[in-house]
Amino acid sequence: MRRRNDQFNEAEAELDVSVVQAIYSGLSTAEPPALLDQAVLNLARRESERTHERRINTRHWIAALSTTCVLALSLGLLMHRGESPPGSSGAESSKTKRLQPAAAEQEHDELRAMHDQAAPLPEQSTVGAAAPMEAQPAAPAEPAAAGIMKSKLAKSVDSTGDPDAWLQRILQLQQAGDAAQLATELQAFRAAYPDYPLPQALQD
Amino acid sequence: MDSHSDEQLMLAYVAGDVTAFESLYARYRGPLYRFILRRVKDPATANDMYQGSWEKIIKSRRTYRQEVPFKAWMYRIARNHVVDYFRRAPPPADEDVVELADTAERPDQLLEQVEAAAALARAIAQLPDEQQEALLLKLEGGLDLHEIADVTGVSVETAKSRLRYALAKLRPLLQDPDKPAGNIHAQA
Repeated sequence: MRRRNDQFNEAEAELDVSVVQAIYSGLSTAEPPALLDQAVLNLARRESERTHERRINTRHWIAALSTTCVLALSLGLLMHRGESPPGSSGAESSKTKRLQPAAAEQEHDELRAMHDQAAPLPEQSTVGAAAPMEAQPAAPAEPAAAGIMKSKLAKSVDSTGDPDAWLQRILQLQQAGDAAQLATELQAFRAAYPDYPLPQALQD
Repeated sequence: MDSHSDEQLMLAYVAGDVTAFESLYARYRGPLYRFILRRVKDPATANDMYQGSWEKIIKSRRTYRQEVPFKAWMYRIARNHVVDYFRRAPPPADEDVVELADTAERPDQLLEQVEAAAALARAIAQLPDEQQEALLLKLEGGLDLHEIADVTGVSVETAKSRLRYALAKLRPLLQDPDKPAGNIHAQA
């Protein structure tokens, strides 16, 4: 019952609204003065232009800031380069400088270790490359580092452990006319087998 | 531009299109002005309030969100502006609405219709403030109950009840337009 009353009231209210609206529409004639219209529209235009200008100014500001940053960075790099010795290039050269002693020290340590290992070689009969050396008389005294370098070279070239085969390869290099490689191989061979007789062709 | 919705026009104006604002303004200049005029009941004050409302609408355009109907957003700003004004200067009690139908401009209109409209305007002016506000938002702004509730910051039920009371008070006038508005107010 109450719901039916509510529905009735809703319909009644709708009817009232439409009747009031009809009368009201006959009344609604007042409009803002033209000057007021103009003032509002001018304000809208001004505000829009101001926003546009602000956007442009922001863009200019960002561009100016970017240019300044790039200039400052370039200037900084130039100044840093000016402080470095001629021929070196800034941070890279200083880094290289820092690295060079370290590399040299590492190389030195490596050589020392190799020397320590190479020193007892004559007594160690189990090492492949050193086996023929046992049969040979003791090698003439050499500076430790040079000897190590030579044995290192010999090891790297003569992987077979056969001096005759090695000499064959050296002869092939001679026939091919590869003088540089020939000299290297020959030097390595002599270092590995100092008393091994060389063929006539290689004795010159 | 006329085919665009209010919301599209407002967003276009926010993006910098002034002609979009001009279209939007043309749609609402009359309704908003009349809403304010019938609330403050004084043309000079209404002019100030009207200009101030649009100023607020323009300046707070960046806060506008497309999800909100523009009409409701606009009326909320105008309504709050009027409420602020009433806080400083309370609304006049029983003043006649000044902008009644001008018979000189519309000689073809029947005298009875003009009188009925004038009586309605007087009756609306005498309604309690909250009911008057709800009714004007409905009649002038064309807002639905949800929008009226949103604009006035009350629940839909409250807005509905205010509107219903306002119409109930106007009903005697609708049945007998010759009845003085004062009596309508007294019956409410």
